[in-house]
Amino acid sequence: MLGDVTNKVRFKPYAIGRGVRMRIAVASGKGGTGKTLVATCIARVLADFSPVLLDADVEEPNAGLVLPHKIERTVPVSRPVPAVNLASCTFCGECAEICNFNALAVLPDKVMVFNELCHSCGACAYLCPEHAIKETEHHIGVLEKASLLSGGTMVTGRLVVGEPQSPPLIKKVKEAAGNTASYVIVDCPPGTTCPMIEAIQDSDFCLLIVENTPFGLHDLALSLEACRILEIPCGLVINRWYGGDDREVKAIAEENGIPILGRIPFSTELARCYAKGDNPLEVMPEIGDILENVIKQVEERVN
Amino acid sequence: MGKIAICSSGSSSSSLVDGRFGRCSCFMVWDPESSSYEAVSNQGQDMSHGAGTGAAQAMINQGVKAVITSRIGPKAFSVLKSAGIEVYMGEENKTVEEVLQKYLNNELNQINSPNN
Repeated sequence: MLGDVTNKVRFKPYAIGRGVRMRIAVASGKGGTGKTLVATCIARVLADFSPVLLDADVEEPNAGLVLPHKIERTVPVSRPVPAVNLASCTFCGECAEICNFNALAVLPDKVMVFNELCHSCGACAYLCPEHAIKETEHHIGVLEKASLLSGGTMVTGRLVVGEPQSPPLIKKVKEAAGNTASYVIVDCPPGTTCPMIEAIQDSDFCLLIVENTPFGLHDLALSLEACRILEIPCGLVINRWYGGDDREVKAIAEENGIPILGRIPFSTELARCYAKGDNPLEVMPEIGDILENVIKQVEERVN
Repeated sequence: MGKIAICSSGSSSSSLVDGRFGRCSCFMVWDPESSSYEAVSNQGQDMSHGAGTGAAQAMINQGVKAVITSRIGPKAFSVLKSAGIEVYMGEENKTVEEVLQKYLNNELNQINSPNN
């Protein structure tokens, strides 16, 4: 790794403990708070440990836009949906009856299947009294496995446009991480619905990126609740920090017993560099220190 | 002449119609043989997805020949169309009975494509 072009931009070696194997989810309720900024900068900070960065925001994966990489392999991903054999179907309606999502409609002489409504539970195929339903594969997207020029690997999930269900693809992205890397960083989708839940599940720690705005705080409360229900320890990183004491964020943090692990100052220079796809650690070296410190605190809390 | 289903906001013939198909509160199913209504509650009205196909399946199971609504989505429309059920454009702010009379007087237009 030494001598690698991208390593020349490093200002100092980051002192982070080896041998800890952990999965860190980078999430937020509100969109645009800086998940990808933090996730990709952590991947750069941890470059010497060959981290695995998972872009689980499969509806609009963008870590690859700001992190130089080389795609090694693209793997198609599908999920099972029902296929009805009309020759043995008696149009009894059992399948439509038991489908929780109304993905099947049984007419007097045919069965309509709506793949986009199907949640791939398999109940219709299992319960069809005539064994007339088999599951067939429905293409939902691809996994891109790439090597990061800074060190480590990146797995990106890319959902087919128009496909409404991302969790099955996010699950595949997580599986592709393997279990050998010391650090797996998950760049999560925004919100607190199924995609975000799927992305943060099974993480050792969840970093919630917060901006101190009414929307940011509102959605922070929702994400904290999601982490609490899933029993995932979490901590906050304030982004676009304008200085001051952040009493609004602090109040929520204290109320929930959640630590504030770092603050990334607001900087138009950083925004400009990031928008161009340049390395933020180069423009704002202190981000490296801030995130190194965040990782150290996470390690202390996970162990 | 077969049964007619009218999307309704309540379970009486004097209830106001509900413009939505998949998420109406109730279907008032009128049977021409007995000239009477049966109120069929819409089981799927609060579903996050699939309310339309569920409601369309309910119409098939009810054996209706025509549905009167104002707004219907593509999936529900395709199910009704495949089942040979006609879809008519109802008027909002009218009662179920008023809309049925208009239908019986051939004053309602058919909806030929999904509009929601």
